[in-house]
Amino acid sequence: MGAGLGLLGWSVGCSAPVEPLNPVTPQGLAIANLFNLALALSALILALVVGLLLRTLWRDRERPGAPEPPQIHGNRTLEIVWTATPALLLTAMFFLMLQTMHAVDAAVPDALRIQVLGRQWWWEYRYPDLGVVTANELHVPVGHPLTLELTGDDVIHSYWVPRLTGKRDAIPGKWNTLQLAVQQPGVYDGACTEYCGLQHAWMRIRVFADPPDQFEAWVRQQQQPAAAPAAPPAVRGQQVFLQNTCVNCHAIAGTPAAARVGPDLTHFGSRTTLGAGVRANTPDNLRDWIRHAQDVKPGALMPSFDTLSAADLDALAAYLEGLK
Amino acid sequence: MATLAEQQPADIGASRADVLYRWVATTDHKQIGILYLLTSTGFFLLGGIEALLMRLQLAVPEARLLAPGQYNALFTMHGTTMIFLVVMPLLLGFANYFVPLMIGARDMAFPRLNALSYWLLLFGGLLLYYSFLNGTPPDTGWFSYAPLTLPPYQLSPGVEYWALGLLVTSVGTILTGLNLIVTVAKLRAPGLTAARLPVFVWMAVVTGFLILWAIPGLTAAQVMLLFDRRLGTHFFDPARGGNVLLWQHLFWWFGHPEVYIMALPAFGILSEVIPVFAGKPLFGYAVVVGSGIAIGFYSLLVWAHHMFAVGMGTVADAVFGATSMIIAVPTGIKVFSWLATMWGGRLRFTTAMLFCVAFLVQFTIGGLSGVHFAIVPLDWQTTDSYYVVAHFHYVLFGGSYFGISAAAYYWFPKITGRLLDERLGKLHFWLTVIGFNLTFFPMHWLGLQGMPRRVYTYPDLPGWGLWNLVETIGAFILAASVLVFLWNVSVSLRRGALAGDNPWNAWTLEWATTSPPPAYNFATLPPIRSARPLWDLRHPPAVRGGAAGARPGARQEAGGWLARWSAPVLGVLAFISSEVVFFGSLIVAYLLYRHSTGGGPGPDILNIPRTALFSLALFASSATIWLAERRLGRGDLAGFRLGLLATIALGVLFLVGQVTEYTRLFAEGIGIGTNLFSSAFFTLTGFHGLHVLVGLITLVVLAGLAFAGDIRRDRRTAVEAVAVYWHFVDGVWVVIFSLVYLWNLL
Repeated sequence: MGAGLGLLGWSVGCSAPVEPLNPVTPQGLAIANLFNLALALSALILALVVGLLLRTLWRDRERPGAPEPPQIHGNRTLEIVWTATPALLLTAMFFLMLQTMHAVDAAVPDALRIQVLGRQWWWEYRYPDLGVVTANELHVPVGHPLTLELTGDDVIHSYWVPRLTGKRDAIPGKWNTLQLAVQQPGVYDGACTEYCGLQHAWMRIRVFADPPDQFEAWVRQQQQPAAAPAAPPAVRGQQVFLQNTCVNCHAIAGTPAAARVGPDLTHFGSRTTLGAGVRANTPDNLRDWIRHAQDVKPGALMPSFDTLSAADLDALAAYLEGLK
Repeated sequence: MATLAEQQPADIGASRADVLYRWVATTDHKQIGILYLLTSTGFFLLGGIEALLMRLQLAVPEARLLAPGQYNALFTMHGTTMIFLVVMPLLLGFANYFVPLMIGARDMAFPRLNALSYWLLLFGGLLLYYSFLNGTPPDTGWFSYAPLTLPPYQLSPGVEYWALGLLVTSVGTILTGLNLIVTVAKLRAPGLTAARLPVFVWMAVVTGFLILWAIPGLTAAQVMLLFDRRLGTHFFDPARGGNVLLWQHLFWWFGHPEVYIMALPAFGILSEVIPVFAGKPLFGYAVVVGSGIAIGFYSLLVWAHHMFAVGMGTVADAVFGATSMIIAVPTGIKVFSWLATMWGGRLRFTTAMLFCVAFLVQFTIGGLSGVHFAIVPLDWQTTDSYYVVAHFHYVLFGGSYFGISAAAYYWFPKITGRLLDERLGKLHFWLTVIGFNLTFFPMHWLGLQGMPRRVYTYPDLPGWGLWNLVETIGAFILAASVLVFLWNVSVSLRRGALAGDNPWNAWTLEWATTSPPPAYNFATLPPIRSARPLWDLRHPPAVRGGAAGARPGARQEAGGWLARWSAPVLGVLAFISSEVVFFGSLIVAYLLYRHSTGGGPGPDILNIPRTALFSLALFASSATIWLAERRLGRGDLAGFRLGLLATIALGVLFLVGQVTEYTRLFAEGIGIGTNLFSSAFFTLTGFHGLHVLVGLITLVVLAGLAFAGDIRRDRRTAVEAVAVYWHFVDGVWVVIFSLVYLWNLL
């Protein structure tokens, strides 16, 4: 099977590497090493079975006039061999597994704590020691150990970014942890992997691993309340936001909007996607999202604000996109 | 079934209504087997259409063919249908038809129970599918994880259709499980010792035990789910202190053995078909049977490997990883034994054999990727991605379905009297192999690319659209293969070559009778001196040589130590073992929630002395029914009736005690939904009370028969069976009384 996978991998080119086998964390690397070994062993065993099968299919096919084959009922030695060999291989695998589990789960001192709350159907991130709250797009410093603390705020979700490490469930009434340290700057995508209802498909994850100085700049920016809008359309947009039911669900620090039902929008303009990955965050998409959220992501808690006038919609989009 | 009707003399000249009546009212295991196969085929087409709709939606990124809710309902119904209404009943259908034939029996041990099982399956399935007509199909997945199944996250009654439909089919399946076990235990032909049983029969027995011990976990969980949704309990509601992992543990307690319920009979089929078409006996019969039993045993110890991502902790993860890895050993033994059976044989490439050959490769792939899920850190990467969808389809489609297809070609001539067309068969085979691998192999790749399962659409990432399109094309090739098969069946039923008794030169007993077999199955049975009685007939001892394991001295009467128990008592014992798991699940819930009182009433409110008094009545009733049995054994009918009446009186007294206890609690404002303790208390004691009531009803029926003079010394088995059940109901109360009441004294 490893060979088959390799062939498939080759055929789609380097643009799409096998993600769990191209990790950017020591934890992911520990898993990848074990996975590569398991795939290689699997490929060997499959090759053995297929090889033996092809040989008997060819050699022992029925030929006219062939005599009745010898009636062999078994062979003790062979039976012991094909019981003991896999058992030994699996025993070795078991100890490698324990070692890998330790490497993946070992807690690191001085890790940056990040709380991850799975919600229908988006992710909320809280940095309790930095005073930052954001949604769907996680920023982490390269090289710094991290502890993700996961829980479900409504139903069960699961957090998976294949190039970082394995997945872990976000379960209501329980806190789980994931340990990792990203070694390479970049953008890493993932998704919710526990079926969590209507829009499970659009509960994507995007992780930005920033160099330390860039991360610190991002934190400083996120710690600020939203800047008061200056340009006329944005000023109007803020009024639209505050006068509509937007405030029942969303928070924008520095304004009276403080609800925690939907994503925090204080720095919405600095995100690259909206609706937990359903669209790129562009002014056009944002206008479409506000007006037709139920068409873009049916069932999301965000209603379609299709009664807003075109001018109000433009102003609102301008305001939100300005929240850098 | 024109051919069948033609060949069964009873149907000649019968009107359509008569024929229909004969099918509806049948208790014949062969007709019931055919009903199973036809019903499951119908559901297979529905489940297949659901799969095709899903594949159409996924053919391109961000498609809008289906609404998200429709897609979610389709994958829920596809999984539920294929597992409960297709693979399991198809295999049980073959077991129904062939287990009695393969052991030389006239019918199953309990033919009427067998008919009940089938009708429960059909009506459970119809209840599940009625949800579509109601416009509210379930959409929470075949695994229905809480709290997604509870308000406010799920308000539609789809979950109830799912739970109730499966509850109904599950009762039927449990009854089939015990029926198979008792049939094989009691009705084997003389000389058919355990070491000579066909492997398919062995696997049917192991499957029977798995059914008995796995399914009640699901039943208990579904009962608690329905109580959560309808009676105001909070077993699985985290917002009210309920534990969502209780659902997962109970579900997978059932869910993993279920995989082997769908795989072991297929292993049995391969172990019948491969030797026949290799012209050699099964290599390592004892090891193959033993590995099947080992797989069955271990399958009960691996359930939590479906839960490595929930954060159970290193120790639990490692233990369940180890038990899951161990299963690979007996599974590997089977693959190597089948290979060795073919090795040096004379291979006849019939369609049935081709399906077995493809099974070997595909099942090996599914088995190897299965080991990846046992290795905990690899599971963390692969679980709930398309990698797992690829894995279990390689096991259940590439494995079980290919085994079922082999069985269809192998046994169709026995069932209908006509052979399936081999040219159409080979077309069917190649379309299936190509379609299957095109559909499911790329899923490995997509899973490793990060594509989660159970998504109604996906972003346009590199390669995702291409491989999903390939899979959709594969799915439609599979659909074409199914059409070819149906065409083959319909053509061959009318014009297929006549099969004769034994078209394949096979050697197990089902081939020793006509095709199709008469209602009574066998006019005469050949002598049974090995696992291959018909082979022995063709190879008299003089020319055969010594290695066939057919020493006449080894002959042993069927029954052995099992002869001590009557079939009804064995049936009740099997049923009791299943009930133990059901009560065990409720007891686990009680222990978990014993102190979850939320400041409200707890175990200390229970009145122990009063309950002890009423418990004494129940315990005493075990003694009275034992006395009644002894009196009947001595022919003392008056004493028997007296003992029976005393038992009924004591049982009623116990129920009165329970009713007054409930009434007092209700008067204090304590109901089933008050807190988690009260939910678990009322559920556990209530189900016990229900069992006492059922026991009382059967006792009253017995008493009625006794006073009518219908029960005599030589017809004691019914009394014995009821007594065993009654002792069990008392025994359960010993456990409940100790845990729920006496424990509070400590």
